Amino acid sequence: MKIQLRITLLFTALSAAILLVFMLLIYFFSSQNRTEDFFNTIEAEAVTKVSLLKESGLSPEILQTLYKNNRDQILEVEVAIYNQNFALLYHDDVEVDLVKETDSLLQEIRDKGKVRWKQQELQVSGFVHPVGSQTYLVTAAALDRQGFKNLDNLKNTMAFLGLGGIVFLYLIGRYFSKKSLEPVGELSAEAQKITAKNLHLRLREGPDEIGQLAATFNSMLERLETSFQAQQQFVSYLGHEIQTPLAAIRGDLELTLEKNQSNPEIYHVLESLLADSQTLSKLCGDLIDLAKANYDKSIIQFAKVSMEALILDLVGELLRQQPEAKIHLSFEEKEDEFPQIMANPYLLSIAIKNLLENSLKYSSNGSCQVILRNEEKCLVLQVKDQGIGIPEEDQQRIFEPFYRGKNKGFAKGTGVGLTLVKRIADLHKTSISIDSEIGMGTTVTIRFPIG
Amino acid sequence: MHRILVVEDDERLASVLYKGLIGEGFSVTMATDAEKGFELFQSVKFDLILTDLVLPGEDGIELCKKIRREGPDIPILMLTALGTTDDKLVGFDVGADDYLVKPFDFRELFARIKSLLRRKMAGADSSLQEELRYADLLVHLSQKKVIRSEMEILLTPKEFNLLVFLLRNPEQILSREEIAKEVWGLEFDTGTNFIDVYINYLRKKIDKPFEIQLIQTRPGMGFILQKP
Repeated sequence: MKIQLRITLLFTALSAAILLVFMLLIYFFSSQNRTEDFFNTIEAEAVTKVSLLKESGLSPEILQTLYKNNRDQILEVEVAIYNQNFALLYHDDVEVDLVKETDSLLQEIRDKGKVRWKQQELQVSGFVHPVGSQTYLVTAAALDRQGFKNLDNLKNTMAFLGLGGIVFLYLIGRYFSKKSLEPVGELSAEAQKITAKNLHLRLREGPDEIGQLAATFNSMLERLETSFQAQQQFVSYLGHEIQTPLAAIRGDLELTLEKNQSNPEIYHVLESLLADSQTLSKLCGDLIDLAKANYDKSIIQFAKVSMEALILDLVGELLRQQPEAKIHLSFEEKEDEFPQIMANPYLLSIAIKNLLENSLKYSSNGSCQVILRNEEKCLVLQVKDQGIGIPEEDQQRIFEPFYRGKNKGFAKGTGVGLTLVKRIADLHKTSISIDSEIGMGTTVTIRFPIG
Repeated sequence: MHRILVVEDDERLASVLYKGLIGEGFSVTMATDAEKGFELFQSVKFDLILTDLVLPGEDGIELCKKIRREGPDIPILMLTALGTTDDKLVGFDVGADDYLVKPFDFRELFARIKSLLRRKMAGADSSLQEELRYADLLVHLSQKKVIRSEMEILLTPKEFNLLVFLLRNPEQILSREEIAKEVWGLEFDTGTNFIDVYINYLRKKIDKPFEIQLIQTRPGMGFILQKP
């Protein structure tokens, strides 16, 4: 779930909960007040009736008639009056006796002075009421139609306002979360523009929390840029500062080697020194290439490359280094010419060179075949030899850095070459497949997508 | 005796190069940076320049460009190290005739120097010549431009060298060995079809779009530039 939605929902839920609690409290207290008020009202009504009867001497019949006529229209309280000995003195309507006054009930009224209770929807109050020297026990019962109606109205109004309020709160929450997350979005859009190509760019800093986050990012970028530059500097340092003295060592060794052909002891020592320095420079070169191939994809430049020209230049170069190599080229283009592919020519030639060198190294007669053909939607490059083959358990692992399989005794190597090939193939979004049989030879196939 | 100018800032490598080249019978002049190298180039007539790519101050590419402006036909061999060239040298249009990646085999260095000098000698008799022409095929040597039937054809440096070699020896059968030696400095046995494939590739650019096929195969012998 996105943070914006989460904030919106959380905000809505929290404020809705507060709203709900308030509404429940209002309802609860309103309901309490209504009960209390109504008890007071019916008691006052009953007292009026008692005084009408006992003090003003109004006849009970008139009161009963009034009660019967009025009770359906307005609030009428049914009143019953007893004397101290629980004898009924007056009743508004004996036929519709709402309250069954038993002796124990009247006893309780007399003892406590006032008792209030609810009988279904009716509210009933029984109390002791002195008039002159006489003391009466009075019960009053009525239904608070208006009160319940008001309460009902309140409930409906609150439900309506509550639902509307939640919708309103949700909208406010959405606006609020959008507003508060806007700087984060801006920050991420800015940060997205920074790639390995323009690591010098920085984010806009500011006094608020987001600004501080940007400052944190910036100091991280600073360190990243420094180490990135250090890596590149290291690679070119390795390239120039190590290869130059190595070149001097090799030159000296070669020149001295020629002068000492008559002295076998010195000759053999110099020969193995020369071989060691060659291994060292090969490893150094491979590591530099591997470092370059591990650069971020965004700083590796891709261009349209003619595979034929690349292979031909490469083979020319290789033949110069290994004049005895037997490389057979099969360019099997159809009617139309080979399409160009998008590639980094330097890295691609390193990869193919490594494959060729491997093929020549592990083949029994120093020969290999390079096949180039176009298939539908891809250009297929195959390097084929009739060499010793790669054991099956090694086939999965030969692309791992510094891994050297069972065949390592057969020829020298650094264990970096095929890792490099794999990495370069990955950069070009191609796949390498190996088809090998012990004693029969190995075929490496790379498919380059076209277009 | 051929005079070679060596521009190399690393003292050790410079001294080894000096020793090696003297031993091969060349006359050698040393310079430690591009400015000194360029001064020497202006005052002395050299047959070949060997320069490092990475130099203090101006680098080898700058030096190459400056020298090319004054002497378009002096061979330049450039020493490079992996990782310092930033892929620039793959296209190799900085003006050097050949390059060698450090650390290199001295025998290879000598072979390349000799191949460059031989090519220079071959062109020397026609060095005043600015253009080579056969049928409707025209090559501007200094601009390294190839035009056929008023259409410019883009070639890589190696393809250009191969075509120039064919144009300098028109209507002569050239064996694979001759071509390999002249264009690539290669001494090889016939275990590879490299030259055949390369010639084929050149044909696609030079001959295929046109009616008349100029580069022809003489089975068992080699190739010939000839109108059919």
